[in-house]
Amino acid sequence: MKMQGLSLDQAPPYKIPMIYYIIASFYLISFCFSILSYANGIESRYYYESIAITHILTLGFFTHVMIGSLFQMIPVIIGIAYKKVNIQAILVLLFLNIGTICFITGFLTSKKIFMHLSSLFLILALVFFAVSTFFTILKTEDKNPTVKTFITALSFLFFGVILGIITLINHGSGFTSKNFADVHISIIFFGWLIMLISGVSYKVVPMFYVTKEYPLFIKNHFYWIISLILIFLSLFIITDSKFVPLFKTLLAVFTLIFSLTTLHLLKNRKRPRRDTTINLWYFAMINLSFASVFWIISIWIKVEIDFLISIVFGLGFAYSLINGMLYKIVPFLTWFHLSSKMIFDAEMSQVIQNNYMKLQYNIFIVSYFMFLLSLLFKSFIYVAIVLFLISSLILCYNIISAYTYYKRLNKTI
Amino acid sequence: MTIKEYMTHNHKECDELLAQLENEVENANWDKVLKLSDEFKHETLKHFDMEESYLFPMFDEKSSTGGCGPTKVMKMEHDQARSIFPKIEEAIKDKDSDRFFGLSESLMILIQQHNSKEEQMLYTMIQNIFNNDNDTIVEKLQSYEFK
Repeated sequence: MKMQGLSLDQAPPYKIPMIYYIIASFYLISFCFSILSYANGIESRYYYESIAITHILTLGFFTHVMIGSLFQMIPVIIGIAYKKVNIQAILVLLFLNIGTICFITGFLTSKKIFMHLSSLFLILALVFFAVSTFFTILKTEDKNPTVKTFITALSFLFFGVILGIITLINHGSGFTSKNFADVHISIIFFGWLIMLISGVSYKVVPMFYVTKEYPLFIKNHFYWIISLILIFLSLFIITDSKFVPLFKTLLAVFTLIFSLTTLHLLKNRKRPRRDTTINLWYFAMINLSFASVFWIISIWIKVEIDFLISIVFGLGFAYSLINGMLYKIVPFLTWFHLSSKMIFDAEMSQVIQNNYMKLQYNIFIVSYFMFLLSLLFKSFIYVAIVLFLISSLILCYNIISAYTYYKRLNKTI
Repeated sequence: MTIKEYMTHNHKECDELLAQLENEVENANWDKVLKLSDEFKHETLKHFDMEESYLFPMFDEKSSTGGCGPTKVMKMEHDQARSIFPKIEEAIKDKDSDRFFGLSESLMILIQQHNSKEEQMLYTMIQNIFNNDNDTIVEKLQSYEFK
């Protein structure tokens, strides 16, 4: 019987995911200050400032939380440990930060040297992470739908990063990179983000909220259908084919099926309590449904609603879901690591005060609607940003307070 | 039914009991809460005992880990879960629903991540080793007695 590598005590030390989360929350605050500074002058998503600000959120906040969580969750969900997780996690963190800072600096100052440096470090961080996680997951014997979906998502992360880097390197050199940028966005949002979230959802939604399992059709077929659509869509975008709208629509329809299924499962869940995390899950999935519908409308009725879609998808869906996951993961991790050290005084409900979670959630929701209103009345943008900044500061405080709670109780032994 | 399916199904039954218990606390049906709390505790501890007294020793012997491999970690997590039960009983006695929900959340996530590791890995390995004796083992598990 081969027992090598079989240890179920494989989670990384507490500090690994927490460092990622704390740094992520600092990027979130920087994101607020950046839009406060540049919001007025941006009129297209292809503006340099717009590209820089988008990546403070995607690379700085989303990617940090996702990678920190995967280092923690892969051993639990898949049952296989990362080799030398401390070294891997620190190297990825270091390269990701250098890459992200160079990227932002490059676009805000229009200096190519920073863009090229960022290409190098982002490849080192993200491709290394994707490949390492891919081969770690491959070791599992049980290739269930979550495993298959994760493997597919990581493959798309790999190609999405490569395409992003091609776009970045060729930027401004006479070679048109707009099509590559569009493929990069499609692959990262649908092949990586939505795919990863669907894989996590198959496990997390039934487990944490005691819902029915996702239908077998979705678990077994969603990942390859999305992959196939994405491959065709990418080829059609690069060749400027007339089929692009059709395949974008297919992508939106399948995303809508996923979000509506999740809403249905959550509505019929067996755990009765509505806490901040479930509110955020609901909010995220409602927004994903709206984003899919708005996207279909913008494809077929030529209306310019890019900013509406980016608010609904970026803040309403992706940010909300990540915020909700943080409020599930951080208190549990803190309590779990303390009780593993026989510190039984710790209780999960004390790690982050419930009132602060609710306050942060409520301010975020108001800011979200202010962002939507700002599409009609431009002056609302500043109210929206200030509220989102306050909400982000509370989120940052909540994460750091969890860390200090751990430190305080850990000192007692 | 395979060993893996039986044990996984048993996990789900315990999850549903905890969900029912939370439901009764939410509705402040404290009489029902007491009864359900006892039932949930009994079923969960019975499940732990099935593993610790029957399945894990068999697995350790056959896989030559001497009890130092994955089963040791699983037993530690069982102990972590056991340590929450007295606190839950205390919260129920005080009719303190806020504290109860904080504790039930901890227990729920602890058990879920624990179950995930067992279902993903350990039960798969147990199934592979004892596939030929599957029916005998499942029968024994179905009629398992726990005091």
